[in-house]
Amino acid sequence: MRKSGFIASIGELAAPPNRVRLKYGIWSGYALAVGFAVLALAAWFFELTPWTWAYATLIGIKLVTNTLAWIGLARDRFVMPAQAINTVADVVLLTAAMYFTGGPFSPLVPTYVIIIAVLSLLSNLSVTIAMAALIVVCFATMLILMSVGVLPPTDVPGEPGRVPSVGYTVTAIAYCAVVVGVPAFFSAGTLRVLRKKEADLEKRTAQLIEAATQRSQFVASMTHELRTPIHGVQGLADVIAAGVYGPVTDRQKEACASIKRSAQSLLQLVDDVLQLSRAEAGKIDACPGLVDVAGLVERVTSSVSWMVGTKKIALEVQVEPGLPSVQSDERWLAHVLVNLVANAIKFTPEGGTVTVRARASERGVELSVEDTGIGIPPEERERIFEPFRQLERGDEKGYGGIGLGLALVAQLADLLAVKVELESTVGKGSTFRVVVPTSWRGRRTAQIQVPQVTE
Amino acid sequence: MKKILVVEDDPVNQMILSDFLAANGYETVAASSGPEGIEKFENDAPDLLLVDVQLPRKNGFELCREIKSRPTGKTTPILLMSAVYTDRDQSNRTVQLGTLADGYLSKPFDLVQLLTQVRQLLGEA
Repeated sequence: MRKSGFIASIGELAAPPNRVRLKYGIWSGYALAVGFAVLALAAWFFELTPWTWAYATLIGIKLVTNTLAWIGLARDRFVMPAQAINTVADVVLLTAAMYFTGGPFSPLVPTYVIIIAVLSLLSNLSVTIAMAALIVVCFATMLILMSVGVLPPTDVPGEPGRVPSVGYTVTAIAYCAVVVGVPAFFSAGTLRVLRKKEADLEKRTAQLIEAATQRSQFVASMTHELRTPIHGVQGLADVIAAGVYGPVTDRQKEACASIKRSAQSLLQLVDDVLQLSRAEAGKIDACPGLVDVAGLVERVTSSVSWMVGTKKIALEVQVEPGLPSVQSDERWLAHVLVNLVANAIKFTPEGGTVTVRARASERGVELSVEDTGIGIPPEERERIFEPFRQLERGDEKGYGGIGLGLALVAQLADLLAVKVELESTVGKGSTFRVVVPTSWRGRRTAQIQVPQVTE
Repeated sequence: MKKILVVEDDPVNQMILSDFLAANGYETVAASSGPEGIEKFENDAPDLLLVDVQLPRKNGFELCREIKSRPTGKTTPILLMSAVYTDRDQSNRTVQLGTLADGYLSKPFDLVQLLTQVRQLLGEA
């Protein structure tokens, strides 16, 4: 591995997402120091070894380096140097503790493997391999110094000390290199692959979220761009019809009204698409509260009266006095009613009547929208609530729209737990009935399904 | 003759509003952006402002706030207009606008409705 790459891969551990791993490293450092302190106390208590002062010193140094690393991390200063000193100190101190408990015969030798396991989990491949090398160097140095007599032999707790033979020294170093090196290499390598996959997944998820956000923002701004010229068309038709640009004949006035009506259906279509795209971008929430049904009916019918325009349709409203209040979401309930009334107006020919009624029933409050339109044959009655469905017959006769209104009604009704019933006679008209229960039984949130447009 | 400043960036809508108000006996001045609106407000001293919320460079809210903070603008009625798409927009806007402007119209609005509001704010109703 190139040196620059090695340094960089160590430096990467200081990146904010990896800080939590460094923190775990420090905690495990304290845990190990406490564990060793308990062992040292036990050894002293049972008079297993005369080197108690040595352990106390080693544990003390470990606590100091560990605390330095902790302070460095908390203050965000000298993070990597403090971590490096702490990790190197771990290996050197462990080797020293090993020497004082019998050198190559010490029961502490397997602890090297534990250090490597912890490091491979908390750091990366470069650090793990570097530390594995340091372990082998420390262990070999101790063994060689003991075997040539520079360091005197020490007692294994409970046993007298021995000088390791040359053969033992070589075998023990080779063994140490294998038991430390092989797991270090494999575990760190495996973890590197996993981390790369994790990073890729995170990146992909972020991209997907970004794409979804951008798309809904695009739809929202595009809708605004689409609406502005439509408002222009409608306004101009109004201004011309009002005689602002000179006298107008009745036929010209009628033509202006037609322009306005066409622009209005275009606007409705744009709004439908926007509503669905919003619902898809986020989910829709219901906020149940006390709903004044009579007021709701009045607001909805007055806000949709423009849809009638100059079309000769009578819009009648019959609200029974003394209606009970219901628990529902006023906003979405209004949407249900708006879409039903809009649908009724759309499919009622000139001279027809659309009647909106509200009355108390034993199941709650019943809202109904009755029209004298084309009617819906029995085989179509389920399908009309699917997105992009409109009676094929209706299309031929020139009823515009892409039929999102009733699809919204069905999904909102599901959210609000209101029942939508349909009665219809072909050629005579249809009645949509919405039964709003007195108490709230709906859901808090719902994901509105967006229709897939297929060829 | 009362003077109305129309601040609207869409040229067609600007024309419609100006022509309609002119046909109903008002003198009109038009501006297409926030900064231009402020400039025309200072130069032409209109009796009423008709301001779109979505404007380039300085939006209708900022324009409102700025004019209302000026000694000359404190008493000048401002009618804000904006496109709303949902009921939630509607309620948010009403709250925001209630503290800022003297009146509010949600697009698309009826021209008769506009005239009623204008007359009311100018004390002619």
